[in-house]
Formats: sequence, structure tokens, C-alpha cells
Amino acid sequence: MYDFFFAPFIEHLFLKRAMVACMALALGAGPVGVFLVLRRMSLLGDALSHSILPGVAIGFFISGLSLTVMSLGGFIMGLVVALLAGVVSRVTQLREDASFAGFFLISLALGVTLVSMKGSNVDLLHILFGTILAVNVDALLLVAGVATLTLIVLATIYRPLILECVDPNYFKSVSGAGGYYHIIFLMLVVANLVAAFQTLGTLMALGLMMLPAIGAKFWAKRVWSMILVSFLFASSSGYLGLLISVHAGYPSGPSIILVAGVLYILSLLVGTQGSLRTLRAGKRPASPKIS
Amino acid sequence: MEQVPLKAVATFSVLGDLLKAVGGEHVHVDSIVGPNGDAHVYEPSIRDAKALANADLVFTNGLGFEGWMNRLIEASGYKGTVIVGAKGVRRRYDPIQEKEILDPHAWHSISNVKQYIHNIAQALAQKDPIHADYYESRKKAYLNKLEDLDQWIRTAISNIPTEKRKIVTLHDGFGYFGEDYDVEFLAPLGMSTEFEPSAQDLVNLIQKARRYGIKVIFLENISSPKLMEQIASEADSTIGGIVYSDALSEPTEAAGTYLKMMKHNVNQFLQAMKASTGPSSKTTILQTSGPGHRH
Repeated sequence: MYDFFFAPFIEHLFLKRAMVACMALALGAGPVGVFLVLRRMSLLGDALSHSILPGVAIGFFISGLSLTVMSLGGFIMGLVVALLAGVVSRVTQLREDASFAGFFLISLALGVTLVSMKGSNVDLLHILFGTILAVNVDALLLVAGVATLTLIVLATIYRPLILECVDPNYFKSVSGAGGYYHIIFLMLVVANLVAAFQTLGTLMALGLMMLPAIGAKFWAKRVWSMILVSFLFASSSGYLGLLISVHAGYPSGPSIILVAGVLYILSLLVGTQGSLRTLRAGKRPASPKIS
Repeated sequence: MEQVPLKAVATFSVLGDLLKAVGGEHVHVDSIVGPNGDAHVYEPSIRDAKALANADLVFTNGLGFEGWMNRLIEASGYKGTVIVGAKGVRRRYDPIQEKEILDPHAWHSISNVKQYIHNIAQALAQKDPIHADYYESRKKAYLNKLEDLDQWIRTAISNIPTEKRKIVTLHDGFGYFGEDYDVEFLAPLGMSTEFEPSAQDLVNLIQKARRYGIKVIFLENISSPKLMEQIASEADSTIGGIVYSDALSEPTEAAGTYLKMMKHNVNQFLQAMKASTGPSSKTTILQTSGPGHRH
């Protein structure tokens, strides 16, 4: 029992680090994912992840394998795309999803062009992003720092952010600051994506942000409880995924995301809030209340 | 009339160097995947297709090494013969499962490289019969160099006790070398670099490294160092430097040619094996299934 569930994590430093990285990611990306779901921006992460890629690549060309510069490059590039898209959608008639699609595609094409001009033969994805099994101290500090920052900032702007989620027009009429909260939130999204890529290592990293948050919707009535469930899902996906990878020999990144996927499907089937089970029982689905 | 050299394209830098060794001044060699490039996961470009379309001869390694090559050759419109460098080489054999292993890294066995050289010389002589004698004499000279290298490696490794002949590298690129000189290679990645390792692979590797007293482990020139740094810190060993498995270095660096690459690698391996403290006495050594084998 002990040997199966705990011994590998106690004996091996790399597994300990992987586990801590997953916990930190869950702390930061969990709540961010919940707000993305509530704002109906679940696909935004996907768009942003593509715009981060060229930024990381540029960082690599400037300074080689420096985690700081690569992360900074990705962060700046993601932020530029997020801000441009945000500004355009608020100023013009264009909806946010459309303006995001426009800018992330430009960014991606720009990045690919830069990479091929450099003419590197090495597969960039392998170089640019880490793997969860090779999390070093720098990567841990990055992901822990981002998680800390995320929690502090979210706690500070929690109420206005929720108000803006629910009714942006009402919020606009009582306060002119809605746009600022939105931008701060987008910065958090980008920071968490960069941290997730540097630790989980693939574009799948997005899975640890979105799947637990979507699954949590089937269990929680309120935003804070949704965040809590999302954190529990994300961190247990990390633990169970690593456990499967240790004992069954499956690759670690995909194992973690697959566990998160299974948790989501289970929630969809048997959750307490608007799942298939409650619908069959004839209950009305309840939407999250504001607290 | 001015002699125009044959235009030959090789898929990767090691093969390109062997081609130059035989072809000399009468063959102009282009390597698609250049120095320090990873041919397992290479994305060909238009330039590569152009080089292929203009080529007189195209050389591949074969044995499943360049999965992207067939499509590229078709797309380029190259109509000539494709010479498989590894044609007729000795395959690796797994004594426990009693079957052959498909391992593309055949150039790490010097006896296999002799076969490569024969294949190359034959193809060049056929395409360019005027210089057949030239190719033949260069072939013989190179075979002699290979023979000397082989002797040197055998002598050097025979001085190392068998239980210390364990080397940790990033991917299973040295299986043939291991079979030739009775050295066991351990690696977190399989024969191709494109797979993600599992936590189990890593746990097994770290435990073996501890058990065998391995003190120095190696990076490869084609990949990120992060994974190996993690293993080193846990197996209580140090990163010994870079070994070259699937690509040569830039010409000015330590492994600019095939012969230099082999010497560099062997010197690195020798240092690591000498630093090894050997298997600890209290743990029993588990049966392992031969060099580089993965479950």
C-alpha cells in the first residue's frame, strides 16, 4: 500500500518535484480556468498558447536555454496578442473570439517564419518546453511564483471580476474600470500558460487548466467552491497521472491530462449540478450563484 | 572539358562524411540534416527538395531512421536510384527474445561502417565509372583507418573490468557499439528521440545507475539537457559532457568527422567507465535484457 502510493514519491526527487509542480500549477491555473469557463472563453487558452510559442522561440534565439528569457519572451508575446485582441474587441464591433483568432494566427505565422529563418534542425518543441519529469529548481520557482501572484491578484480583484463575468454591460454602467480588470485577468492567463508549458512541457499543458475547471462546473454552485473543486481535480490528476506513469510506464504528461479528462467525464455523468444524472432525475440545472 | 563533380545528397551528417571520405574531390556532398541536427524528427524544407531534385545520387541510412525521407524524395521529383547506406549490415539481435531488433544507428559499429563504405564506393563507381579507380583507392585507405580505429577501441576497452562497462546516454543510440565492445548502454528515451519518457523509465534508470555505481552520464548534441540533469542529481553522478550519436558536430568542434566522432565518444566513455565505482556489494544485480533493450 505505502510502497505503491507513496514510496516512489519519497524516494525520487524528480517525482517530488513533478508533484510539487503539479500542485503549484493546480493552485494558479485552476482558478484561472474557472474564470475562463465562466467568461465563456474556454477556447481562449488554445489561441493564447499558439501565440506564446513564437515568443518562447525568440527568447531561445536571443539567449539560448535560459528559462527566464524564454518565459519572458512567451509572456510578452502572449500579452501583446491578448491586449491587442482585447482592445480591438472593446473598441470596434468585432467580437473577442474573432479578434483573438486574427492576432494569434499572425503571431504564430511570424514565429514559424523566424524559426525557419534561423534554420535550426533541432525540433524546437523538445528544446523550448520542459518535461514534467525534468522540472528543475528554476522551473519550480517560476511555477510557484506564478501561482502565488495569481492567487494574490485574484483575491484582490475577485468581486469586480465576477461582476464583470456575469454582466459586463451593467458593470460598465456603474464603473468604468471593467476593461482594466479584464486586462489584469488576461495577464494572469498568459502567465499561467507560460508556467504550464515550462513544466508540463507540451501544448497539452492547457489540459490542466481547462479540464478540472470544466469538470468542477458539475459539482459546485458558487464560484469559490468551483475553484476549490477545480484545484482538487487538477492536483489529484497530477498525483494520479504520475502514479500511473510510474507503475504502468505510460508517458507522464499525457497520463496527467488523461486523468483530468476522466475526472471531467465522470463529473459530466454523475456530478451534482446539471450532470446527465441530475437531468435524468428531472432536476433543473442550477447555474453558479454569485457570492 | 572541365570535370563537374557528382552531386550527391546524404540524409544526415554522419552519412555525408562517409560519402566525402570515399568521393573525395569528385563528389559534392549535401547533407539534409546538418551538424547537430536530429534526423529522427526532422522537418524537410523546400531547399532540401531542390537539392534532391538536382542530385545525381541520393544516399539514405535506412533501417527506419529517416521516416520523412520517402515522401520528400517523391515530392522532389528525383528519379535516380536511392542507395541505402546500411544495406547488408549486421542487424542487432536480442538474445532473450530471440529476434532481431530494428535499430537504425548502425554506424556505431565499425564493422558495419565498412559495409557502408563498400556500398558507397560501389554506387559511386557505377554512376561515375571514369573515376572508379580513384574511389577504390580512397575506399581502401578509409577501410584501413577504420581498422586502426577498431583496434584502438578494442584495446582501450579491454582494460576496463566488465562490471564497470555501463554508460548512461539520453537515447538508445549506441546499441551497436555496445554489442561490438561488450558495453551496456542505458537510456531514458528509446531508439528515437520523439517519444516522451514515462516516470517508470526514469525510476528504473536511476535505480540502475545507483546500483551499478555509475558516476558520469552523458548529454547528446541533439537534445535538451534538462532530463539528464535531473537523472544526474538523483543518481549522485555528474554530467560528463556531450557524446555524439546521430549527428556530427560543426567541423570546427570535437566531432567534425566520423572518425573524430568515434574517438571523442570512446574517450568520453572511457573516462566515465574509469570513474564508475562498480556495482555495490550489498545489492544483487538484476538480470537485464541486453544493451538498450526496452520493455
